[in-house]
Amino acid sequence: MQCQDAQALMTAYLGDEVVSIERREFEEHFTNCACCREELAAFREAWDRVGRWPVPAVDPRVERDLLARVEEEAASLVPRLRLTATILSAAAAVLLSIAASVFLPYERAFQLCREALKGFSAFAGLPDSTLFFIAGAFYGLIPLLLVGLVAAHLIGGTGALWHGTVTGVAFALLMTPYVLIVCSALPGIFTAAILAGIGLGGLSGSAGGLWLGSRARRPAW
Amino acid sequence: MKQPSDEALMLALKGGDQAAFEELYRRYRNRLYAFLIRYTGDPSSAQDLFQETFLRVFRDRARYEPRAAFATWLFTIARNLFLDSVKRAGTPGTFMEPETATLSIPDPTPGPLETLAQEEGEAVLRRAVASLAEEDRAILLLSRFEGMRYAQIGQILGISEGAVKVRAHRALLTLRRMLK
Repeated sequence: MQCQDAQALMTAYLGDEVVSIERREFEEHFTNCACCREELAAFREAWDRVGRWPVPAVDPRVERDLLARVEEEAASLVPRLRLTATILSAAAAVLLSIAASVFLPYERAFQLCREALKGFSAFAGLPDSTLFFIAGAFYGLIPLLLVGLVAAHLIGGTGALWHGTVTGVAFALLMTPYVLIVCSALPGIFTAAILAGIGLGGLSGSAGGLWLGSRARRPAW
Repeated sequence: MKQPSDEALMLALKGGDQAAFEELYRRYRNRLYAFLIRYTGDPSSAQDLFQETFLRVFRDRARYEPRAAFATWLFTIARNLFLDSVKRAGTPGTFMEPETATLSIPDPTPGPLETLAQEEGEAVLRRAVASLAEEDRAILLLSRFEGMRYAQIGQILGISEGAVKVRAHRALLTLRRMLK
């Protein structure tokens, strides 16, 4: 190793950044070269002197101010996230519910419901409007249960009851025109029963999904 | 019990755990503050940058990907914020000579002469570091005080490991001459 190469490596050597082969050559060189030894000592002195620069302490006022700003930030973020999540949850649930009603129309769900309950004497005398209500409840319950679980996972699921209620109400309102259109051939009482079922099912599903989701994952704020 | 890594804490913060932020802050506050005081040379700017850096970590937690070490991410944010502030102020990216002495943990029992000598020595050192180019200054401080490898410093500065090596040497060479 030449003096020029050795001198170029001095800072890296002090910072422990020299690979083992280079290090061996470097150490061999400066053992035999008084000039480079002197140079290295001067570099080491500068290196050590920088290292003795006193450690500044964090100003407690700066620290207090920062932590307060973080708290503020955390507090302002959650309602914003909740509002966004409410809108997105309701919209996603509407899409899921409409898709379900396309694959399984409300009248068909009503018939399936009647078939399923036929064997149970306790439900034998239920009026058709109640059966439409029960069938409709599934179109609210299942989409919002799924969406609630996802929302709880994404935003931390705090304020489950409030968020669930608002999402459920928004969902029911958004679903109303669609149900009125697709059920226009049905008697009004049945349409009303479906709407009531969807609304109640939606509220239960949304709160339930968020509650389950937030139990699985508890954030600190 | 094994302490969670910085990256694990950052992922926990990303998932909504505010206690993880507090732990990261506890781990890095002194390191970042010391770096900024030395890097900017101005306690007031350092304090602003210190707050802004941690706030940015908190705000951008969702964007954090554990590809790089947390320290790399943190110091990259700090440096970028400094460069932005310099650009906004329309001044070159050079060290700002402090109007007041930096806050420091004092030596246990220095006498008046020792204190004076210490302060003079520190002022000389500050001026010497101030004379370095911004990148060279960052490299020297990250290497000397943070014990960062050249590869990691290269990630922060967006330059190659070889370039860091060359600049680190140039920085120490300049300091050596000035501190003679």
